[in-house]
Amino acid sequence: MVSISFIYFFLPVFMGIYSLVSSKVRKKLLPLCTAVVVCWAEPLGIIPLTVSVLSAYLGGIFIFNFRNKPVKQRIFLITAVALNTAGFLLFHKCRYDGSDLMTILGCKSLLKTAAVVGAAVYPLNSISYCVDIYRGKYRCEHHFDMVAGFVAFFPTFTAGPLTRFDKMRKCLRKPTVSFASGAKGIRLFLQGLFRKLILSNTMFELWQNVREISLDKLPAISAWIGMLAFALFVYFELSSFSLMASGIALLMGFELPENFDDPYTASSFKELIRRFNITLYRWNRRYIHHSISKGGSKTADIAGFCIAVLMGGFWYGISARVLIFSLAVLLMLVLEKLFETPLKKLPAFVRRLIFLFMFMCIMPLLAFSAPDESMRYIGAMFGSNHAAVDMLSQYLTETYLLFLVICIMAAGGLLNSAYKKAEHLSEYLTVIIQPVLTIAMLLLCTAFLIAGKGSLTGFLL
Amino acid sequence: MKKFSDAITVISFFTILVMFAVSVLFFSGNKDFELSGSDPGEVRDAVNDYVDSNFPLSANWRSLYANLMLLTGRVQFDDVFYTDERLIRSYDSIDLDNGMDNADKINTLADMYLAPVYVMLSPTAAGIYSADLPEYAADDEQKDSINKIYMELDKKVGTIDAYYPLYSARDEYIFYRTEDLWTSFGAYYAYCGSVGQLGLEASKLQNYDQEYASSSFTGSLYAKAMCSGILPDRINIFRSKYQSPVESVELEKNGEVKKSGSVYFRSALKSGRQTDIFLQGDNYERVTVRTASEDAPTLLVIKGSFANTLIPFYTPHYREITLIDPELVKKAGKNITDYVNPNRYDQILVMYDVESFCEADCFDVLTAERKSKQAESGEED
Repeated sequence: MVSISFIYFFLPVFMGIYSLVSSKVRKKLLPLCTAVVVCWAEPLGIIPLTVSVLSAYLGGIFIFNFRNKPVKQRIFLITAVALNTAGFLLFHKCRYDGSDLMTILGCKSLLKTAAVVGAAVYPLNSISYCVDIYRGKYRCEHHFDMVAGFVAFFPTFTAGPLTRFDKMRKCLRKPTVSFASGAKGIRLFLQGLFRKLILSNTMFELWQNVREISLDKLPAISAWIGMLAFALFVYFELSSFSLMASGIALLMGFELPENFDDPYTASSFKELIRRFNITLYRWNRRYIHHSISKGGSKTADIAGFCIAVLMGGFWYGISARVLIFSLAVLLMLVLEKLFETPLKKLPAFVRRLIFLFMFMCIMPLLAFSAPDESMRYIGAMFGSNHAAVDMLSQYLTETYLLFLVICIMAAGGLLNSAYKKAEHLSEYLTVIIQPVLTIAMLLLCTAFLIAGKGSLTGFLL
Repeated sequence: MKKFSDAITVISFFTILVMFAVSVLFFSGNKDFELSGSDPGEVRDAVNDYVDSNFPLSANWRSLYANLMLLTGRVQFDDVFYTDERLIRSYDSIDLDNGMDNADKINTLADMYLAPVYVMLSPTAAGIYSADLPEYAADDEQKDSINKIYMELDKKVGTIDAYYPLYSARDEYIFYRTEDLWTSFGAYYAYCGSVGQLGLEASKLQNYDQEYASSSFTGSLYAKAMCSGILPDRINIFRSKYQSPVESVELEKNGEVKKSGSVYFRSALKSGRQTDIFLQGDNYERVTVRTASEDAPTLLVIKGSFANTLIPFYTPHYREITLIDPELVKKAGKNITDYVNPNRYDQILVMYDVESFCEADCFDVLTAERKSKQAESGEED
């Protein structure tokens, strides 16, 4: 999504056509454009997309029509879910280390490039649609273009946010564009672009700099700086794509839910998983946790929760590294539950510090493909190399200090709240400043897009 | 009011997008659309490549980026470092093992031919100005590397020191600010330090007239980093106050031979690489310079790019100087004996900067002849 051809060619052409045609044509244009976007990245990606769309459409109709015959209904549901799960498992490939299910199983990967756009998103849309109909939340939709538009909603394809059919239905029936939502969308899109190009890419670069150092020599300070950069990178990378998705969706007249609520200001892991990728958390709770627990016994509830956390992890890449990280998060959640009472007595500030500290300690598990490397990295963070500072840490702090400060402020929610305060200060001022700021942001992002190295792709998903 | 502002935002956003898109499509012809295959991935890459390289105001965007980065305290752009005075290219580390292998190949070369072999490895700007680089990138090892390679060479291979002449002249304009090459001054100091060891006497600085061929040269390092604040370079030519001894220059590439009357090629000033004014840069496999000095010896130079600037100083001392670029020779799939007979020369000089010397993997073309000879003698036995 972050490429010159997308922003400067696809976006204006698509939006031009989209806003000129009637809303009837718009509905059909949406799945068509998704197919174009997916094919453009990797023609093979059209297969799982078609499977997901068809299984949602047909599965929805069948599940709804057999609502009085639970066995048949269940068979259709299981088929639809299985098809989508297969699509997710086979085609979801993580860009960060190129891992996918096939490489874990020791086979040759199905895909040459890690470029099947949206393989982590549309199967989940499709499953949520089928399960909701099975649970009787809403009736099935007989208009194919609406179901296709929901399952294959391309703005969200890189990193969510996930949404539900009943929330999109009204917009899907009659998508409308307006200047007000368009301007808001552009602002969101540019905010995401800024996060991606300037914050996320710089943090990734800093992390790469640290990663190049041999683990036997890495001094403690550099290790901490590197992990801080990695943690910030993960957040900004995901939130930037989410923001861009919401922006483009708004341009098209769709309002998507917010996906990140300043997760790094949380004071516990429990809070973190609720505020980090909110829509994915909700999806997992709704369709995995509740499916397993079914409001039954406590053990089923706990098992459902654990499986939901692990499955949630796999969304970030199907690999051993993610599994270990998810287990670590689970362990942290258990520890939090065990020490709930003493922790509650601590002031919020201290709890926040403890949380951040523990979070940074388990983050290397996500960063390295090999578990022993992450253990050695954690060792280096605690001074196993008997060095605290070296020339490189000095250089890294000098070069990236400003970016680190900006990133920490942005992650701490300070930038947003400052902007909102300024907005309230004077309405007339913002009316004039906002367009100027938008154009300035666009130009700044263009400069980073043209000159910045390796800024064209996502690194994580 | 709010509506108006929103409309302005949307319209101006898309206007800018469309303006750039139109400009890419119709108003820039830097690079043509090249499609290497019909594979969808290749089409995508070709389109992205086309758009990237034809994006309008590319230089301005990049310089905006670089200057913003400088403001945030960054001094490194890829392998190019920004210091107050100049841009310096610094490798992470020199591949000394490969350098040692190359030194062994020079030893073999010296065994193969009668003419005495001399090796001159010059430092690069990163070696001379290592104090200006950030500590972690400082290339203090260049001097050591040169010494280690010299130690690896056989006794009969003469070594010529270029480090100290350059280091002691480090306050002068010996390296380009925007290009990874030495200037004529740098080459002159290296020349003064070297001709003595070749058994000759250096011409004094007063014997030259300075000619400024270009005063607005910006080199490849600038193209990479694009940060303003670095002055453009001048390219100067040292013209002997006496008659130029050069009679003819022959340049050979892919079997075609071009002739010229001077070692300076002014046409290069109009091209992208202005430093190619010296012997056309690194574009020809063989360059032969013939001079009027009838009784003088002949010299064969195995050259890296630093030699181009240096050789004009040698012309008064030799009857014939032939330069062989082993890298291009290897690219052409030939070896040195396809171009010259090294036994015909009085001296052989290997002139490289230490970084390129350690990176080069083309020195087998120098010793290839021997293998075929061995094979022949083997057959005869």
